[in-house]
Amino acid sequence: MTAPSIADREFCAAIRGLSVRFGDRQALKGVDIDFPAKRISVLLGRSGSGKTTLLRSFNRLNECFEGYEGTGTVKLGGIAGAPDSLEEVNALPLSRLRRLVGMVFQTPNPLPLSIRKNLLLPLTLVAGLETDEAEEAMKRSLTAVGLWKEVADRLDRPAFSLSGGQRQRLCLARVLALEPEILLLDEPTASLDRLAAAVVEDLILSLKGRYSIVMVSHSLAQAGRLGDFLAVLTDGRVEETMAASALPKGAEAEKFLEKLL
Amino acid sequence: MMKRREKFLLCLSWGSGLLICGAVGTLLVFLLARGGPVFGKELFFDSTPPMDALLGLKPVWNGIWPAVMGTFFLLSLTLAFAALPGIGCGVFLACYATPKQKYRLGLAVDLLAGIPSIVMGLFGFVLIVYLRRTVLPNGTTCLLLSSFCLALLVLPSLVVGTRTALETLPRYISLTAAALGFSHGQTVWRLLLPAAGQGILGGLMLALGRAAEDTAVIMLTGVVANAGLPSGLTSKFEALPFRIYYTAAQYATQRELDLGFGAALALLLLSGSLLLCAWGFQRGLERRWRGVR
Ligand SMILES: Nc1ncnc2c1ncn2[C@@H]1O[C@H](COP(=O)(O)OP(=O)(O)OP(=O)(O)O)[C@@H](O)[C@H]1O
Ligand SMILES: [Mg+2]
Repeated sequence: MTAPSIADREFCAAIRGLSVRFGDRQALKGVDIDFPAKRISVLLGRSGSGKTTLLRSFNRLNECFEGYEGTGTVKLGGIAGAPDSLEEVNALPLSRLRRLVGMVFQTPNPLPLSIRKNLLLPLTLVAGLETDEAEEAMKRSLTAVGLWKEVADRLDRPAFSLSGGQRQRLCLARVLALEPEILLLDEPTASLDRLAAAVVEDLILSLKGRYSIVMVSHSLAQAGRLGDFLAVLTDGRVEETMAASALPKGAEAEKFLEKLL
Repeated sequence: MMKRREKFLLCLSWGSGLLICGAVGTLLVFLLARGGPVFGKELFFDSTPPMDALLGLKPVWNGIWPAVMGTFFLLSLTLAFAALPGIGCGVFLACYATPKQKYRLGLAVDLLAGIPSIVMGLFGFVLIVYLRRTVLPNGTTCLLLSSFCLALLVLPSLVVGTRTALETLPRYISLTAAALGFSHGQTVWRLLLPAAGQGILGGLMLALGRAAEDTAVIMLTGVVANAGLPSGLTSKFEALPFRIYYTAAQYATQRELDLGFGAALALLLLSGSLLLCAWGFQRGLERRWRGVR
């Protein structure tokens, strides 16, 4: 056993030499990056620059796609059972990895079930809870995302009867209920209007400090509001990383954005 | 230019729809007109009191009741034989097979689908002859053999129906499940298969319809013109399609022919009600799975 090092504990993920291709399409070209633990990291970049692919390398979801080939290592830090060391994702059992690393997709993706079953099915199948424990966990996480009041009397309605913003919060609740260590949020506000987006942003801020969050955003303003750490991707490479406090403000921000994206 | 082509396509699709409605309607009207008037107690039970016939106390000689029951048992047995391997094979093809396995097994299924029913009947006949010479000296053509051969005949529609239903499900379902930590097996059995229920039911309907109308297979494997109610799995039996076929070939009076139409109507109602049961069953299962009230 190696002695716990402080450096390890500060990172929720360390990625080295990560290259990913789908067929003849190279999505990531040798990415090296560390993400701080218990902070919000924001990935910025043009469409097609590989942000989603980078997120999916955390929970090995890229492997579900046709023609996937990948090299390099992704190590996660501070995860239950081995709090002081970095653990390679390939060494973890898949279902445990995906429970530890919860992911919310770019478009809300409730399962074609009732609201209740959307939460209960993962809780009973993946977390192995009994039904009454699972009901408790469901109530807790729906309350955490501020959805409980809105859906308490319609839990047995189809999840697709919810609005876009409600769906996205349902998906977040579904992930939170599984008690992950790391949260991956892929443009969680992309398909929402301003009001619904503001609700989800507040929600993300309320999770700050409790989870290590890695999120994709297409707006520098949002990154500034939420992020502690920013990374800019260009064409499958990490172009730049910085602390959010180093972000330029006002008109300068516009120019900065032009330059980067 | 585009406008005219669109209009043409619109007319074509409406026309095709109407054509189907017209064909089904004509068929129904024709059957009802010919078979309707004779459709009654006498068609089913002849002169035997219905209660006695239903309870199996007295035999029915000229009515179609034994044939109705024969077809009912035949279809039930066929489904019992075909449902599990059919759906199982479809699941394997859609969710577990490697591309090479998909290609080979898919080819085998297509081949099986191309076998004419008379050949399947011959196969059943040869099979029982062979069994008689080897392990079953007393074996003979019977209900069990017929339903086994019918099951082989309808297997492909079940396989293809299940496979297509699973493969056309939206991709996000399995991706979501994977991201939540479901194992592949859990995804398939707890999410994909129930979600594909409607399509699987479609395959089942096709299979049931084909088994209900087929005469060639059963003619060579155990159906007879007069057997009374089937007394067991290894007995000869009567069946509606054969009854209809037999009547059409042998009728002497106009009334006998009308009785044949009555039997056709009964066959339609029987398969219709079986389909209705299957549909209700599937709806119930789906509602429980979705948890929607
Ligand atoms: N399943 C796949 N099959 C083939 N190519 C893919 C696949 N997924 C991603 N790619 C390719 O990899 C590159 C990066 O895609 P990715 O989805 O990571 O981009 P992104 O930065 O998330 O874009 P967006 O902002 O539009 O979501 C793109 O060029 C894309 O075409
Ligand atoms: Mg993306």
